[in-house]
Amino acid sequence: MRYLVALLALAWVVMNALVGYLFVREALTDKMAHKGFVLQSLPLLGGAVLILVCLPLLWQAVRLLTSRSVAA
Amino acid sequence: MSKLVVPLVAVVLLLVGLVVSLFELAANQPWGQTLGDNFMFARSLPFTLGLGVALGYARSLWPRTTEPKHRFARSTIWLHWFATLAVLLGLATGGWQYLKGLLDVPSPISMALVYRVHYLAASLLLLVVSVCVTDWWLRGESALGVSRGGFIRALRGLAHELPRWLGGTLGYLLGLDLRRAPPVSEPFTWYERLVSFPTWVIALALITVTGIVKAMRYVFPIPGDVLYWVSAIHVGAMVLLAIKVLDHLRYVLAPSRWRMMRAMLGGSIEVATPPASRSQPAPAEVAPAHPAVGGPA
Repeated sequence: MRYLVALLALAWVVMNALVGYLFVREALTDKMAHKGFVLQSLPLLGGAVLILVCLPLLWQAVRLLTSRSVAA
Repeated sequence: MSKLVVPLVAVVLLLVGLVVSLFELAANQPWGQTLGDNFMFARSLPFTLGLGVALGYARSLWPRTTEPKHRFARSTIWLHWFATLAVLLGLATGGWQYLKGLLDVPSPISMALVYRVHYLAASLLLLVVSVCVTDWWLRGESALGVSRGGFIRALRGLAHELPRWLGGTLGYLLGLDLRRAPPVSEPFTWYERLVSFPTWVIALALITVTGIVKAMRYVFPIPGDVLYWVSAIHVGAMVLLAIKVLDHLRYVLAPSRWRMMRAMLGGSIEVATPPASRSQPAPAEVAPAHPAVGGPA
């Protein structure tokens, strides 16, 4: 069960990191720059934080996959 | 008796409301699927919330068996997974809508279908939230809160559970005595009570209130400026919810806390020994090398 959960978590990390990347990439385009600071900062900050928060989950999912024993 | 009658009446009212709304939609309006779904969703809101309140009332009256080996009641586990489904579907479809606008590309999936699934997920989330709020309110449930006058103690517990550098910084900034033993917190950890649950409440409240206002925009006139900010907050709450899901998974998937995940899958969990009574002499109050629950939060 824990391997399945860890793999699902990894898939969730990849999807969220992709969304975060798309947020940041689009926030830095000229089109968004013309829309003003608020509309540009939402995807920029949101995307950056999303990618950052993916990292600890990535670490825990890998640990769950590779650890020999877990707390029962 | 009333714990069966009240939910049954609410179910009947919801069905009547949906049927009347469907007839209204089919007979009089030339709307497309998306606008029609929006009206269906907006009209069903009072009935969905009413059903949630009725079910929450019934749940509060239902007798509970307290099995110390199980962290959650069976109905709590079901409600958690319904809420999980609703949040994940809502995030996926909401993110899809936002990305379509942001990237300015045609969607390979029918957007009417995306909106329909979003409304269904929102209805499910509203139902679960209203069940839980009503039930907890009527029973005076406070296991995930902090008791009055116990905030400093809770902060000390949190500082012990956080990674050493973060807990130490928190303790230094707030003047907490971290040499004392961490206070016991069962069945929920201090991180769950002080960080995780309050941020869930904020994120869910924001997404729910702004979502209801957005859904009502064709039923009730809402000024454009208000709608603009409500939409911006709705997107912000979506990102906050996505972050919450990632952080929640990070917390419960740590190998040292795998038992928490098992508890939510219906498994049993070992329960800590209750703290000694005040009349007994306290053990040596020296902070242990590791936090009381699993690894660092």
